[in-house]
Amino acid sequence: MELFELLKRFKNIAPSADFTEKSKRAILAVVPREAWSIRRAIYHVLETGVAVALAGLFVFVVMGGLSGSKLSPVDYSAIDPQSLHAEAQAINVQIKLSSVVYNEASTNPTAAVAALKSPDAAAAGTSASSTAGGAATSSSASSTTLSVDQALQALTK
Amino acid sequence: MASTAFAAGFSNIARAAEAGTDCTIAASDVAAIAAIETDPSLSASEELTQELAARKALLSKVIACAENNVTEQGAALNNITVPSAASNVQSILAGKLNDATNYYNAELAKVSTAGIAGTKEIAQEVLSWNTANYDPLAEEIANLDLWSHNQALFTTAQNRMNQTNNIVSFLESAGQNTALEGDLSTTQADFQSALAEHNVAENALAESLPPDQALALIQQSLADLATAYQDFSTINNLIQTLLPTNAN
Repeated sequence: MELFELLKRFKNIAPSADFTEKSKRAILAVVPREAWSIRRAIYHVLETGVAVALAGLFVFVVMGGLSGSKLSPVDYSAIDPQSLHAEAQAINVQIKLSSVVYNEASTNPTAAVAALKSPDAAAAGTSASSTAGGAATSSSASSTTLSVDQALQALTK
Repeated sequence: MASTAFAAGFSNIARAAEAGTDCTIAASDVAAIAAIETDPSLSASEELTQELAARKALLSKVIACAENNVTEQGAALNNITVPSAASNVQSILAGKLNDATNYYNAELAKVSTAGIAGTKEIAQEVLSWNTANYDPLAEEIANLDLWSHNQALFTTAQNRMNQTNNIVSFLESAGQNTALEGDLSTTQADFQSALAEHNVAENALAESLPPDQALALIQQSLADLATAYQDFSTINNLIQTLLPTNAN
């Protein structure tokens, strides 16, 4: 009879609160060991590889690695000093061209009139001169050409 | 409408080209007339006959050469590439070239019946007409050609302006930079000024303002564009210091 009473009292046995807490921490601290498999190994390798690749790409972008690429958020070619210089040079050339006054139609009657009044001198090629009027001068009168307006000016005399 | 007028404008020019005139006017041709006047071996009537024939021949050749010049100008005009908005300028100039051809043909017809005094008058008329009409027309065509070449420069500059705006916006998204904003503002202002001058020059061409005025406007637009490019250089130098890039 005493034995039964004793067994009934065992039901009331409980660990102390401090022991419960320590035990709980010890259990949670243990990492469960997963079963090794080829599939799991490949998964881990891929996971690590992707992480490294993403980190590398981030560093690449931060260092301006996409400059000049269509993927770049801005077009870096705009700050290329060589293309800038080339475009500026093209403008300078055009400015110089614009300074070249159109002169084909302007008249320079001097040469034609002199030839009309002094054919001998013209034959010697000394009276006609090439200027903005468009006359081309050479060493002889036969090869000295006149512009339209120069010839017209001469024909008015 | 404009293209019809443009095509019609070249009908006469094409006919003039078919004539295939040798347009080398030698000073010796003019000297030959003077030689007739001073030739003591010729009688008065012989002198008049020979001088008239020589003057008619040379005057006819010179007027034909003037027509040839119109033909060449027509070809040059036809080769100018302008935006559709400015094509009416091209048509107007083609019409003026057609008028020039008609004028030369009319003057050429008068030569055959003219005396010595008449040939001198025709020469003076054509010379004056050239000064008043043909020379400015040739300058207008030269100005249109110049302006059309500027168009490409302005298109390139507009692209550069857009790209620079994008870069500055990108940099500003990371943090405000007052120096960068100031440089961009200056660049934009100078570029817009150049673009406005370019458009004013186009209007001057369309309204047939005196060629000198149109040329001055074209030159001003180029000068302003050159200033804008100095600004581009300045802002690029600043961007280079702010942006990690291998665009050297």
